[in-house]
Amino acid sequence: MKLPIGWVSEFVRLTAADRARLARRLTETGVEIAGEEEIEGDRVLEVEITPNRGDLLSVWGMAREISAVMGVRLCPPAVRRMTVPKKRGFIQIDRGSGCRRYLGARIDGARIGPSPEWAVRKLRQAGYASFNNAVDVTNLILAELGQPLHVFDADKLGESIHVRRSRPGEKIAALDGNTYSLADDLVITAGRPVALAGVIGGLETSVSETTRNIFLECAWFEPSTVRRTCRRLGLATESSFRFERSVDPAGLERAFHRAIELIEELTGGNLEWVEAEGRAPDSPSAIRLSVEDIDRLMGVSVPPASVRKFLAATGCRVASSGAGRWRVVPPSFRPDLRGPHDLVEEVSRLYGMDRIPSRIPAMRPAERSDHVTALDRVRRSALSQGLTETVQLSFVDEKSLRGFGISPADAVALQNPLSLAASHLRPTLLPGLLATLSLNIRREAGVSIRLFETGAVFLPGAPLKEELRLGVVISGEAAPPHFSRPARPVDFLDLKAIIMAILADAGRALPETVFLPAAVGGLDPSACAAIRVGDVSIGCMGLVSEEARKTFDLSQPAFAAEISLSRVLSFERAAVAYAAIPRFPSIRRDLSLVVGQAVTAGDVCREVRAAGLSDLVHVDVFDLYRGDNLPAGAYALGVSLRFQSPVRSLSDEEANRSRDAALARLERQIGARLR
Amino acid sequence: MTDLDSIQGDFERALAGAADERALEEIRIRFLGRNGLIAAEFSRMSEVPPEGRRARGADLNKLKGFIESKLKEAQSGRSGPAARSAAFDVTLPARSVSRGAAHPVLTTLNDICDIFGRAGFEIAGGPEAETDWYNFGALNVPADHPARDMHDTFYIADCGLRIADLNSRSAIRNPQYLLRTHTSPVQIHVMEKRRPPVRVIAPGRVYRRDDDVSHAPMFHQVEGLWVDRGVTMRDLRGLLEYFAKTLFGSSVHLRLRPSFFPFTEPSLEVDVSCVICGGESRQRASACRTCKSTGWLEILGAGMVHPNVFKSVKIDPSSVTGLAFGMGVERIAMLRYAISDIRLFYENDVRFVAQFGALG
Ligand SMILES: [Zn+2]
Repeated sequence: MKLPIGWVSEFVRLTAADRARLARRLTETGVEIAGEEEIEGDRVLEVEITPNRGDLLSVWGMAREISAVMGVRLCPPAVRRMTVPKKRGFIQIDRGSGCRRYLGARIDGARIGPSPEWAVRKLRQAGYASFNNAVDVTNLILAELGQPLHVFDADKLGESIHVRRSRPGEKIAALDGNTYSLADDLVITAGRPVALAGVIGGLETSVSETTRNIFLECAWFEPSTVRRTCRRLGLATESSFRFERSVDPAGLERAFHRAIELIEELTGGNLEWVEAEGRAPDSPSAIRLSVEDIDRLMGVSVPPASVRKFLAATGCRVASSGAGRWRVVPPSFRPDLRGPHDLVEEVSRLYGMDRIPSRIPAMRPAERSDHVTALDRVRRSALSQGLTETVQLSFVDEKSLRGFGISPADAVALQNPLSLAASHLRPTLLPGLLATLSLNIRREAGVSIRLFETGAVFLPGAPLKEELRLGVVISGEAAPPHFSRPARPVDFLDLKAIIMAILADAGRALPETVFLPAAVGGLDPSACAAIRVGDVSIGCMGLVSEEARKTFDLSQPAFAAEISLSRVLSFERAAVAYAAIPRFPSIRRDLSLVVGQAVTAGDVCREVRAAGLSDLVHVDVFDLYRGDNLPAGAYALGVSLRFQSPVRSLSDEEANRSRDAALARLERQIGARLR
Repeated sequence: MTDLDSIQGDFERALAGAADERALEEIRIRFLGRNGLIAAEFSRMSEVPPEGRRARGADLNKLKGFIESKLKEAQSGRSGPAARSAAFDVTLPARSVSRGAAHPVLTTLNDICDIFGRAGFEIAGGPEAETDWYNFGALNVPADHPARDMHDTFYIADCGLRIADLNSRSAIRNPQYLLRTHTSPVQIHVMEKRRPPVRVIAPGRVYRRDDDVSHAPMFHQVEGLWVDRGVTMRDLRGLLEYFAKTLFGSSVHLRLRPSFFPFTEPSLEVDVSCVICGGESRQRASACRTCKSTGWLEILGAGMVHPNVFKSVKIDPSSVTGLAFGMGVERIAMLRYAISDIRLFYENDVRFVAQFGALG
């Protein structure tokens, strides 16, 4: 809100010194100063008012606050009580409709035209445009006293108005040029809706050049009623902004009379009658406050005399009810003061929050949950694998979903997305990672791009489910280029190594991890695996499919993996126990096999392990050959077996027997032959 | 019988480590000597199936030739003054491996959690998709309260979802999900499960419908909550002073200003003296873009837990007091690393992330 210093000085006497420390003092006491400018030769502050302080949304309200926090004298605006004929029956209010009080005045014989220079200047300083003299008066009063007003062309209203909830099918063409369909909104009607109460007036009954007779509205509408209408229609006006934050119910008459006076002055019209209906809400009720309440929150003993002084400065009526005890009645313009804690805030901000001394907490390290520790281990493991950590937004679009073979109906949609590019919550981390990969490749950010993210994915269902996942994508060179080694692009096995390392580092008691050929959306079936630990599926990995590459504009092959950390972390923490370091030499035996295409390396290793060989400590693949000199439909696989006993040296004969037993099982179970 | 590749590997390693003529001779004896490894393999030819013997013999001879030539090469290279001039060029570029890089926002988030961890704050969490009750209602933000304007909320489209637990208060009040606009709902989750004393810190993602240079639709917050008998604003100041000095350096000082949050009363905002100009720009009227020459940087919001929040979780507000605070992690990371555009964080250019180091 714009606060013209010249204008506010009409209500508080500010010395040059006061003006100099005004901005700092307001900041210290809770009104933030966002900027300062000069408009029409006067200093204007841009003040930020928190939603609880509707009372500060006017020049007069700010004057009151300045008086309270700077201890300067306040000169309230003059109120002229007028004696005029009272009208009855023009205004009708439905009880419980959301309108608590309604003051109306008829001013006849007005000449609508431009406002005088002083009014235009004040409006401009407060950030308002000038329309015509009658409308300008409503904005002047709004800016000065914070009371929203509305002027109608009285001749278009007819014999009465009715303040009520709208009926089905009713519409209003508003001053902003839009037509709004109404749905149980509070409206002013004259047969048909002529204004959305507290929000905006109707176009048809607005005051224009041809208007001769004016009807002035000054009312108190319930904050929640005004807010509901604004939210529903996506509307916000200077008027609704103030009603939502509650205007001073005791300030209605003052604003009303001041407005009548100004309209008469500016338009040359004459007040015909006034009518007042309804009863403004009561002032806030009394609050009991004690020094203990203050001490308990502030941790500071504020002298009782100061408490009294601070509260009185904010406009409260303070009555003593014993030593260090008070009965405090907040002013009508502070409905936010409801309990002792609210009064403590008033005391603390006038005492000076910045004056409260500090008490350094005793240091004692907190326990770390197993979950937090495990996540930290996963993150550090991924970093140690040479991956770059990323933070992706949690949103995806339909195109990315389809690129992963996910129907948008199987993802959680946002009701009010910022854009179509962020229409759903991600059900997988991979679209974001691939988009980032693509960006880095297009920017030529590096020849070897390796990325990861840990974060939640959102899965539809009842209730909606969040799952913590790890996503990894790699592309480009397997290692940073160096003259001494040949360049080699990353492949499936590089990614597999990363995933296995991270799973091992997670420190969970996982059953054996197995990689099984699988078909997964977004991944190429020629190199795609489901990852399982025991019989729990924990994720997938593979070559990014052509289709997904097109979706993300990826010019080169990439490999991606996604692991459910929620599932991995659901396993117990692994207990680490020392195992004796082998003291006796190991013996290695190799088997050069020819196996059918359908047999996997995993099958071979599994069968070797299943042969029950004693002292077998390691099975590895040392050679893989596909090509000529082999029977059709077969390939060559070399596996090495390492034997080692913890208690003695093994003989060559023992190793040979074990090797032969393994071979026999391989021949029998999977039709392997020696090469 | 041993795999020949492993013999070759052993040889190459030995050769690479050989410092002088004597070492070379030892290698020759070990591999080519009468009782050397190659000879041993020849003598075990009988273990090889007959059909493979020929191939095995050829491989062994090839390996023997390889070892002989390499040894010769090494011997000639070491004799005479030429050897010194061919010393290893220590200025060659290093043969590096891929290095990880931690994201600056998450590094900052972890640092914040560690600082509070040392002061006894445990890490707590909660879902990112919340109900209206946890995000607003329980935190003293009723429907139709203008404080909701401070949070432009993403709602999740109703796809016929039903909350399973119809007994929960949230289901009755508003079954619709939204994306949490702050980490404050974790306060409620924690206090529902645990009675005071409570000291927790809750880091996580939050969402607001905003998108510009200084606002992203998603960002990270860290929420803190300390509930116990006798917790006061003095503890709040002390705790936050400890935090700011640990994170930004011991020369920073704090400024507490009154503010408004529905879930705290009194509420306040905490500024630190500008970490760029040290607050100097205010006195000297020199320009500082970071603090807009005010000398202060707003880093977090805080306050004393509102009695209505205690009531939401059925804690008697007269039995305890509490302090709560929340801060935007991106904002702190931006100050820490002098980053001016929040969107850099979500772009994840590896050249950006790599600037902040691998150690996280
Ligand atoms: Zn600065």
